Formats: sequence, structure tokens, C-alpha cells
Amino acid sequence: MTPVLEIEDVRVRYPARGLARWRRGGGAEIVSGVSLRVARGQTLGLVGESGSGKTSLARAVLGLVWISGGVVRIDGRSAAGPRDRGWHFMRRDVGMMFQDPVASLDPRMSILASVAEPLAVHGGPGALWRRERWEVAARMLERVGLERRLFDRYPHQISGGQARRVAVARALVLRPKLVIADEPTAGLDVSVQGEVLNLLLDMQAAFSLSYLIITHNLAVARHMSDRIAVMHRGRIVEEGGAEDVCVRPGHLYTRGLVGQEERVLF
Amino acid sequence: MFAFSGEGLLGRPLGAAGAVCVGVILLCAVFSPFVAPYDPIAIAPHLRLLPPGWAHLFGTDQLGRDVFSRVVAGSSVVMALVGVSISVALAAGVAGGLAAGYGGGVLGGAIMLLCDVVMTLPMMLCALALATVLGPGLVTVGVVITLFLAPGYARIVRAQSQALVGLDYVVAARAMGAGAVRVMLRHLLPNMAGQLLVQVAMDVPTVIGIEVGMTFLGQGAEPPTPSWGSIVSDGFSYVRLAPHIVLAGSLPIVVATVGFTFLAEALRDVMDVRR
Amino acid sequence: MSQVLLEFADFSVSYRAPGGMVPAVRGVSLQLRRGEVLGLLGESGSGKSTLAHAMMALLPGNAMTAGALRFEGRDMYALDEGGRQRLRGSRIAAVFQDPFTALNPVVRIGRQLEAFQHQMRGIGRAEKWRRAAEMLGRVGIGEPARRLRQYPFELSGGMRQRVAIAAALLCGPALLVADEPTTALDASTARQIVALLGACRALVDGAMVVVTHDLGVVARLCTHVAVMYAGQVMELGETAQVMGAPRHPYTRALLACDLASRGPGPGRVFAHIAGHVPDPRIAVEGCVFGPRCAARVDVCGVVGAPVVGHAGGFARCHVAA
Repeated sequence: MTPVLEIEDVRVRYPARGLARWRRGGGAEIVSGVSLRVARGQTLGLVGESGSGKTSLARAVLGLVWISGGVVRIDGRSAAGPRDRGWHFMRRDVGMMFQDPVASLDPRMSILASVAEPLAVHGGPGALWRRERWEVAARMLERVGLERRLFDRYPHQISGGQARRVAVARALVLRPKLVIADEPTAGLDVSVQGEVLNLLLDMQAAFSLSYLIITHNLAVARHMSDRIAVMHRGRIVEEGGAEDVCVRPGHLYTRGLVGQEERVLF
Repeated sequence: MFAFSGEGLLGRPLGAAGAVCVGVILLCAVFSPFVAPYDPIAIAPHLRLLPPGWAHLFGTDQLGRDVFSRVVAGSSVVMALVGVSISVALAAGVAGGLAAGYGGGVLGGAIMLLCDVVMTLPMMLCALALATVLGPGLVTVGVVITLFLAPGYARIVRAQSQALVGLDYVVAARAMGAGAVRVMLRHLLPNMAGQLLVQVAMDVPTVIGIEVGMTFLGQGAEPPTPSWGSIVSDGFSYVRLAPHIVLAGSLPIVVATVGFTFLAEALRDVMDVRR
Repeated sequence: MSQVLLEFADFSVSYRAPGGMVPAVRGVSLQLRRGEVLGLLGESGSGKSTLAHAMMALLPGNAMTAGALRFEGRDMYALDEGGRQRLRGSRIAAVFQDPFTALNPVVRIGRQLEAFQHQMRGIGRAEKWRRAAEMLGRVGIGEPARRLRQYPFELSGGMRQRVAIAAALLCGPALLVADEPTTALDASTARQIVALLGACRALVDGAMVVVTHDLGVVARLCTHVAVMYAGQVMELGETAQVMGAPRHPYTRALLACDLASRGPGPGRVFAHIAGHVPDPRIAVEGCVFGPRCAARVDVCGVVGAPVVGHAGGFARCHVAA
């Protein structure tokens, strides 16, 4: 079975400033030769702190930043430079959830319109007319547990938790094969983190999704993922089964992360 | 429509006053044939230079034409000029600004360079130069206005595009596969519209000023076209004999400037509150 | 028995808002003794930040207080603003959440640290710089003399937080309040700051208060913890007791949600507390946590929960063990 996501030796550089712009290659590397694989129906947790390059890697998977080396394959299909038409089809198969759900929604569009937008961009079953698109979007919003009365609201009129549900709905409306969740629990109180995680697991079961969960929270990664990859300064320093990496970390950096998460139990 | 709520314009007395001034002018412009009591270009030599009175609210000018009717007719001329020239300038500026801000690269740099060059040109001198080439008339005035306003809009649009492009929701749109056109029309423009609207409102007094200036110098509106500039210009020769003509011509200019400026300031405040 | 440094006696804070009064803190009563580190643990809307700001005498202009907040025996809110201002930066010092905005970006660190000591009379400039350099060394910043001449942007987030802590300690305070000191930091840096704050206990001749939503910070740093919800203290006690054998259903539920100490329950369902924090403007009948409580009984919806005391603390609950 082709893995739903395959990243082979991908490199991403900082956009260069000043004279360096004219030199081939550009600035320093944010991602230095990363290779990863997400199998169908599985969840890969990408763990790293800020500055590790994990967000840039996520953007590279969607072709949003220039990839200076390596290949990204989504469901076996790859694309060349950023202007390649291939990205359009690849993006159809990937849904993305951003760290700040309220900021990831256009403030001038109602949440129903935001969830319906991917349908307008890509077409799809019953997506020709606006009314049909809105129906499909409405059904997805109900699926993630949002009340109908909120559909006409704007992003600044709903809570952070509700916005997160909207983000989930938008990521899933095209029935993608892979969902990238960037810090799914960021900014959430401990008492409501469980709700989002449960929702993600439900959706995974219902739609046979694969997840790439990007987080700095090792505990979230451990309990949500089948496999974990630890990223540090642009490289993958350790990869393996979730429990293995957390209980028997090999690399020094991983051991440091695990040590910090150790809860003092009474 | 938040702008028209209690927290918006109505809550700001200066803004409301500005809106009223603008409203009056626009009404006169649209309904001028019904508001003006006399034909603005009908000459009646026996009635020349009458002071303001009941029959002629603003008096008559040197050709016996009712000044009030000329002011009202002038409002439609001036507002039409404002509308057309600003629209064209906006279209050009937005197109250029989007290309420079979203596309960037060499084309973007070239567009911005062009804008900078135009903005450094001394306006009145160039206006007169253009009038020499194109001949006098309101069309020439329109061309001058468009030429000098478009770079300003392009700059705003470009700066805003660059700021917005990094925001999460624009990245999200690109991530879902939206093409450049869709991103620009659906996500960038609507979120810039507020700031552009404020700038447009602030530019209207400038446009009026250009028209008056050019007409005063003989390169703008040609007789018998009634425009505020031509009323002031004609009346200037008789300012000792019949000062009411110049005053009457200046009144709408002041009202429009004050009105649009206050309106723009209030709109800007309203937009900020929204954030 | 150490003496009581800070005491809340039925202390409440409300904000004046266009629609009416919004209560943020309701009837808090607790005592803080010398040598203790109190953790104010709570989530959004719990009132912990407001309580911390009240302690720092930094409440905004539209805040109204009721009840007493006694610091070293004197009611802070019976004093005038001038009296409170004299306490700030001398007897009470604070460390804030965002290290990136805590320091003036256009002034060198040395000058800022010197300025922080402005309330200390009788020592000259040279002495203040010497103390600043010494304190920087004590908070773990190497080459303090060189650092004093640098600007804040030349330091990382973690180092800036250390400088902020040094600035607070330079005042020689009796009370150090840290408001979410690790929230804006990476896990590894956060751990270092927590360790540093722990070491500060010896440098503060008084007590510390740490406001946080992070259970790990409380576990590692605090001797006592007050669990807050919707403006009230739900449980108070020694950390070991509250986190090992919690008496209040909210504390129990919160601990169950902590992923670092326990994973999801059977069927891979993550624990969470259903519902949401009530709108503070709407009065709730009975116990404020009642609607979301797993241990709720009929009386919880009728009568406000009583404070059930025990050795070392209390729980505000009808059914506390």
C-alpha cells in the first residue's frame, strides 16, 4: 500500500536577504534532509520545540514554501516547483488545521462560508451550486458538533473551542486522505483538551484518515500517535513507535524532552 | 453595515455631521434638475449681478445666470468627475498594487518604481503640461486626477497585500488549493476595502481642489459648463462689485471638504474599533 | 509557626463594564505565611490573574474591591493609591508572563536594573550596578558585567526571563508574584526557570505566589496550592495533599485530564470536563461548579457550597470527603 505521505530528504531554506538573494541556494536551512512516512490510516506525531523547523516542514508538504531539495509525495503523487499544477490536486487530499483556529478563518467570511470554501476551490460531488456547497458544509459542521445557530456567525463571535471545531470541519469537508494538525491543543485549557482529541479520534475512525500531528507536547503525541518522530534543528533525531520513543528514548535530545514531561506524582 | 449602527457613525457627532454634508451634496448632484429653480446656463443680461434675494438665493452672475442653480448643477458635474476619476484611479491602483504585493518580484518592483516617480512630479505643473497636450476641459482634469491618485492607492494595496499574505487565513486559503486570483479577490481585497474607503473619502477634497485649481488657470471646465471652479473663477473678476458670486461658489467647496474629511475620520475610527 | 504575610478576608474584585458589574473574584479567604510558595492554579476565567494583580496592586481603574487584602498586617485597599504605589517595587515585586515585553527594548539592561532599585535610598549608582551584576550572576547569567551593557534583544527569551527575575529580586521584596512565568517559554527553558524560581525561595525573605494553569509547575515549585474556578477558591491545601488525594471534584477532574500523568481512559477516550465556564455576569444558583460536576447531588443546585475545612486547608464542596 502506498503510504499516504512520503517525505524524502526534504530541505527548506530561509528566504535570503540582501546580496545572498542572488547567490544560488539562499539563506540558512530550516529543514535539513528530513525523511518521513505516514502509512494509511495511521497517525504520526512530529514532536519538536519552536525553532525545530516543524511548521516549515508542514508548509513544505503543502507546497507553500520553496523546497530546495528532496521530494514530497502525497498518495504516491508528487510535484516539482511551487508553480506546478500538481500541487492543486495534492492539496485536495490534505486538510490542514492551524495552530490558532480563529486566525486561520477569514474574518469577513461566515464560518459556514469558510467551511464551504474548499468545495468551491476544488469542486466535487454536489459542489456546483452555492446552495449545495453550503449544505455539504452544514452537514460537516453538524458532524463536528457545532450548533446550527452558529453557522452565520463570524470568527470573532465564536469561542476558541468552537473555532477549533470549525477548523476540523473545514479540513475534512473534501474527505482528504491526510490531515495535518498543527498544535491541536495549543491555547486550550487542560479540561477541554480532551474534547478536541476525542473529536479527532472520532473523525479518524469515521473517515479513515491519516494524521500528521505536529506538537511540542510529548504527552499529546504519545497518546494520539502510532509513531513519533522527534525533530530538532531541522533534522529528525529519533523515530519509532510512540510508546517506545517515550518510554525508552534513544537520542539525548529525546531523553531531555521525556525528562521534562515527567510528572511529579504524589 | 456596522458603520451605520449606534456605535458607528451615529455615535460620533462629527462623523454624523460629515455624513449629512455629504448626503446633501450627493442629493443635489443626483436631483439637480429638480432642485435648481432656474436653468443654470440660461443667460438673462437684464438680471446681471443681482445680490442674493428671495428670487435668486445666491444672486446672479455677470451674465444674469442664477448662481444657486449653477452651484447645484455644478455639484453634479463635480461629483460625476469625482466618481469617474476616482473609480478609474482605484481600478488601476488596485490592479497594480495587487500585482506588486502578491506577485512581487521584478514586475512588482517596476510598478512601485513607476508609482514613486509619478508621486514625485509636481502636480500643477504636470497638469498644465497635460492640458497643453490634451487641450483644456474636464476630461483633462479627470486624466490628471486619475494619474495622481492611482499611485497612492497602489501603495496602500501593496502594503496591505504584503501584510495580509502572511496571515493564517490567507495561508489556509492557499493550503486548500486556492489560486492567486481567488486569494486576491476573496481574501485580500475585502479585508483592505475599509482602509481604501477611508482613503477615497480623504481624496475627494483633493479632487475638488484640483478641479478648482485647473479651472482657475483656464485649463479645466470650459464655459458654459457650471462647476464650482468655474463659478469661483468667473466671480473672481467681480469680487469687488459682486462678492456674493465667489462666496456662493466657495460654499459648496468648503461644505464638501469639511463633510468628506469628517466622514473619513469617523470611518477610520469605526474601522479601528472593529479590529 | 511562621507569621502570616498576606491574608485575604472575604476578598472580592469586580470590574465596571458598560453592561454592569462583572465579578472576577468572589469571596476569597486564605492566608500566606513566610517561607511558603502558593500556587494559584486555574484555567481561563478562574480569576487567578485578577487575584494576582490585586496582590501586586495593579488592578485597572475600573476595578472595585470588597473585603480585605492584608499585607504585613495592613489592608492594601484601605490605603490610598500612593500608599499602594510605595509597596510596588519595594515590598512586593512581580515577574510577568511575556519575557519579550517585560524589558524596555531601547534601554540597556544595566540601566534598567539600576532603575528598578530606585526605591532603595542611600546607595549610590555604582553600588546599584554592583548589586545588579551580582544578582545577574545569582540567577544564572554568565558574564554579568558584559550583559549589563547589552540590550534586551541580544538575549534569548529564557535569559530575559532571568533578567526579569533578577530585577524583581533586586527590590528585596517580601512578596514575589510570578504571573504565568513559563507559559511563553519552550519546555526546556521553562524547566530551567522553574528550577530558578525554586532557588529564589532562599533569596526572598518572605513568600512567593505563582499563578499558573500548568500542573507540572505547581507540582515542582509550590508548597501550597489554591485551585480556583470561576472566581472562587475551590480547594486549598498543601501541594502533596491536593494533588495526591484531592478532596474537591473539580480538582479530581482536572488531575484526570492531565495527559502527562495519565493517558486516555478505556476505549481511548480522553478525559475532559464537559460544558464551559459560566458567564461571570450571570448569577448561578448553588455551587458554581455544579452544572459540570460529576459528583453533583440535589443540594448543589440550590445552596452555595460550604467551605469544609480540615487540617492544612479546605474544600468548597457539599460532598467533600
